[in-house]
Amino acid sequence: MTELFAVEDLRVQFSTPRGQLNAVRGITLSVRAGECLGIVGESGSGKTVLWRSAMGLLRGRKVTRTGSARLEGRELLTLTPKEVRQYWGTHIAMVFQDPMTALNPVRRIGSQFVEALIKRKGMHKDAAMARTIELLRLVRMAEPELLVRKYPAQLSGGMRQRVMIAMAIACEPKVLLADEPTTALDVTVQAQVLELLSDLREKLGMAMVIVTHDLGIVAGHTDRIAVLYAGEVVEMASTLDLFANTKMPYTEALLKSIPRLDGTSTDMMEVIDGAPPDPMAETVGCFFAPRCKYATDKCRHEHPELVDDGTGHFYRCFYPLGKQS
Amino acid sequence: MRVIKGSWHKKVALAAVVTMVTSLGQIAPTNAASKANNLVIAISEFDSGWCLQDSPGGEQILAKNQVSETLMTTNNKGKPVPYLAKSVENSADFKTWKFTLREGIMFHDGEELTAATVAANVAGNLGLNPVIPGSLPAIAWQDALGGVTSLAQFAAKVQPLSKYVIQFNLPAPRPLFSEIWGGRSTLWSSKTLQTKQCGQTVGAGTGPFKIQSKGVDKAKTVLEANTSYWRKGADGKSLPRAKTLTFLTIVDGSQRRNALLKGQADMATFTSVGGLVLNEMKKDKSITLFEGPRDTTWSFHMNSAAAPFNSKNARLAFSYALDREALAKVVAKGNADPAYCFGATYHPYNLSNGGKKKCAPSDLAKAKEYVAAYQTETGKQLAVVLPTTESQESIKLAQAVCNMMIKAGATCTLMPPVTATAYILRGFALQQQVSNFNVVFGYSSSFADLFSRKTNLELSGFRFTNPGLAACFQTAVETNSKAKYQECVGVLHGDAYWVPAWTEATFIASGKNVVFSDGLLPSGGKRREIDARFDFATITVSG
Amino acid sequence: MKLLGAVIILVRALVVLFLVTFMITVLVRLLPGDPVDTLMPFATDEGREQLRSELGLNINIVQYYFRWLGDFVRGDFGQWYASTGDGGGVPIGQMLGVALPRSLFLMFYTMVFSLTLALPIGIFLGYRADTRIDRTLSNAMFALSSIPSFALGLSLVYILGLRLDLLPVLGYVPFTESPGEHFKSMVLPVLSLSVGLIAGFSRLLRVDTIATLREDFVTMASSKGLSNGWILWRHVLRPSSATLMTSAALQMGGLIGGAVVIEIIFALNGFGMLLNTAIVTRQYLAIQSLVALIAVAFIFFNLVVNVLYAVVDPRVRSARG
Repeated sequence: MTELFAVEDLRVQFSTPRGQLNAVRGITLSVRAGECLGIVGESGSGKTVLWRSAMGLLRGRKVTRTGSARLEGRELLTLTPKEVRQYWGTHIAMVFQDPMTALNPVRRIGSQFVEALIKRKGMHKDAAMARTIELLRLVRMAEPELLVRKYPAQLSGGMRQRVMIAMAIACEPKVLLADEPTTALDVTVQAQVLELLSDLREKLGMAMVIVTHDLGIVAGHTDRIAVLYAGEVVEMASTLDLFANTKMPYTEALLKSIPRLDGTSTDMMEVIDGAPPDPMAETVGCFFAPRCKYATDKCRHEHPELVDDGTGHFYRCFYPLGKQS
Repeated sequence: MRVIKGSWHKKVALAAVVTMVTSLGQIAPTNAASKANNLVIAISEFDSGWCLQDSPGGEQILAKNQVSETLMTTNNKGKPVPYLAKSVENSADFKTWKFTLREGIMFHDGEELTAATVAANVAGNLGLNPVIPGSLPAIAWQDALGGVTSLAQFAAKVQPLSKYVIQFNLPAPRPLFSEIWGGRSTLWSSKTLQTKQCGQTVGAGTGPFKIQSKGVDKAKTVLEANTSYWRKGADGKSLPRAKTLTFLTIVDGSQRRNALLKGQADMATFTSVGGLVLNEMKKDKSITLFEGPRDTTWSFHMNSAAAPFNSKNARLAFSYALDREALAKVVAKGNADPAYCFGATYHPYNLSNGGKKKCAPSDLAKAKEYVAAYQTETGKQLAVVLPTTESQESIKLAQAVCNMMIKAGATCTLMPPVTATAYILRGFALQQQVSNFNVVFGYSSSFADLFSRKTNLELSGFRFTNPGLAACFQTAVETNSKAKYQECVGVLHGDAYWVPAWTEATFIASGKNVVFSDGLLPSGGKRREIDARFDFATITVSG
Repeated sequence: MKLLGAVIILVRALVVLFLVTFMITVLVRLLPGDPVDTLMPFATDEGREQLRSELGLNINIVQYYFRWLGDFVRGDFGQWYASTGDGGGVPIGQMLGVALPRSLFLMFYTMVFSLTLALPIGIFLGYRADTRIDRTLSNAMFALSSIPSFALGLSLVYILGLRLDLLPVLGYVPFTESPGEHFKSMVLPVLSLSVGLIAGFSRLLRVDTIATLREDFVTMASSKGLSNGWILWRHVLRPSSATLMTSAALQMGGLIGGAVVIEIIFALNGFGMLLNTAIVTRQYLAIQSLVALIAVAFIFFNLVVNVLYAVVDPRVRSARG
């Protein structure tokens, strides 16, 4: 399968009054057509910055981006804002974490759809409205004809998220980037939305990237998962392999921190002590070492490289789990 | 929906812009406010009423005099001469005065000017018919007639002898009585008086112009020609020449000049305090600046009934601190003379003995001494608070005076600006420490006399703490003796009740479209060209 | 529900009006100096008593207030007191007929003009926040806004009126007399008043724009591939305009009575001048009626802005139910 969207050695730095902030420190990733990639990490792991900067949404004098981000083989990082905008919506689209804040509160639902269809697809007003209604049906909204006249505040959280998904797929993007698509939703609605996303991906043949802090929610819906820590990929494998054959102590810790419905008591749930390293500071050794219960002196002084175990399971650890240490 | 809405907004906005642009384009640059003989005069004073009781200032009197006229006027020698009156006679003791009116002079409302109308006007000024509570000019009449509180008393003192002859029987000698008739006491028709109107919004006088609109817009008075006006020009043709007169209040002096330059006004009045503007106008080729005789003395009048100027030390400190040379130079930019001893040399109040005697100049060292003496006397620092009117000139003047006081060691602050009329009234009502008035002007002392004699009355505000002063002036007025005046004014001066500041002329500027004709008086002789009785009837404006 | 809301707003406005006008009555009474002294310094005792009763100074303040209020709501704003007493004065209503249109036009044009310029400038500065152009322009605007309006007015008179000979230097021409001359007569005063307002308005809008630009929905809109211009006008402007609208409403109320300096310089003699004259000449009735009208204007513009909030931001509407 060809790589639809690929990021290679992407580094993102922010200039702050305190100094350079390393948000993304050399990440290489790719999504193939039709594939669903999960990107998992704590807040501050660089997962959101990674995709926003690769898309070109994050740019400016205070942002330094190096490396490469390619869409269907075309380099995005060197494009002007105007050029890169041509890809947004039609090639890459985004679904945001909080549908309350991601939909413009002062504009009707319909007009927020129609503007994109007119501007990006060159549709006529009436056709755009018909297409909007169709899209809303596609995301299983009842009475879409009435819905287009409403404002975001008049909808429930789950409805809003479905509206936003419909808006994201309006221009038939090839890659759909979902940034924490379910975090702001009730647990019951979360499942529906994830179901909907999977469903749409199959129907429309899109590639999809789900960015989340919650390994649990991507477990059943992704083909591959990349785990990010402090701006680096620390483990990446097919979903099945990652869960069955976890290599990184960090991933293990993440897994243990997921509340399980079948859990018998709360002490099953573990909290990862400590905090990720200061992105402003130069850190030696494994970034996770200070919080890792397996860490050795080597871990504290040498920075491990990302290695492939030969099956396409990548990890960044001197003492991967499953091997005798 | 919203797209349609958007375009609707756009259409309206576009239409509005197009309308504005096209309508702006339609008209060529405005340069002629005065189309075809309509005269626009820019003044600085707002209209606060033309009744005597309203105390209008000089510029409103200028406008009022175009509508309503006086029995007497002043000629270019400063002497009162008959105007609406044909002749005036007085008894040797100056107690009986007989005025004979010109015949056939008509008010704008069709009434003929008769002795009865004149009597009605005096009764009106006294507030007797209709009943109007008294005020400043009425005091002048009360004073001259020796106190009149009923119509019966009035009838004994003001007697129409025939249709055109009226006689005044005064209880005390008044050598300058006819001057009252040359001042502010203009005549209105009987009907005007009965409506308690004296040109508030309507009013019929005998003047060359009648009121078209006035009073509702306090900044614009429009007069129209009175086609049956009694005077004729020197060429025998009828007056007035202009079709309309518009008095436009433009408080800012530089804007009055700009209005002249731009043709938005044809004439404008100025005072010497706007010296910078005056000097600029002297350079403007399209403006002609007329300066009348420098015989109006602006003085600072102390409220000696209250602190701090109830102290002679404070008054003298103020007097010596006042740098008159600087005022004439800095404020008036050379358009006024420093005044040391009251009025032009020919005024009865002038102490310079025809210019021969040197009067004491300002003296900073002495000022400092008196400031210190005041501090010793009261235990307080001398704190001066100066009132201002809204004109830039007034504020500039007050600032300059304040700086002089500060230099002498006093503190000084400005009161918030008020209108010219409010300034005058507040001064009378003892609401100001010190007020800048011009009661000494021309050849006449009548107005200043009233001020100096009535200042010990509770009603009039300014009070002399020297008990003999009013009596001294009373004798001076009754005898009209120069020596007596010198004696009283000497005390006035020495105790610094009034501190003369500078002497100036009236300034009238005109644009290039204005054509003057004669300045002759009906009784013969020339009129004073530039003063509050300026004759707009003889002016033509070319279109 | 909606009707009840409207009634509540109206009642609240009336209560505010009542309080404001009553406060004015009290404050006018507290002005230093007896009005009789100012209006008629030489009056006899008898005359003073007559004047006091004409002015309502001899009855208690509550009675006086209700007498005035009764006249005011009937549209009788009283008389501009004349020294010749009752009957000699001019009805204040008539004087307003002259002064008010001038001030309303001045206010209207000033608001339209300054908002027309402040909207794009504010949005642009917010969009380019902290860049060199933002700093340069913001500083320039700050400098401009610190020029007193009369100094600016006189400079404009010199440049546009005299030097370039484009516009009348002062005066007012009613719209009905000549629309072209009317607009021309308003250009200089409107410009003089607008510069400060443009600076103020665009600063407010800049700050709110910066905040709005951080919102997710703006990122969402960009991720749809919309142009920056479209996003700024269609997505950013409305959510950023609440502070601006409030400020504009206050300015509208303020400009009616508060443009005295400009009214003096350009010989416009509108409402501000009328009120000013009323205050310094102790025209009790006029002060009271004119200030009450300003209060009405403030309340009215606030109501309008409240309605506008709801139009601009549907969240307000749903919150009000």
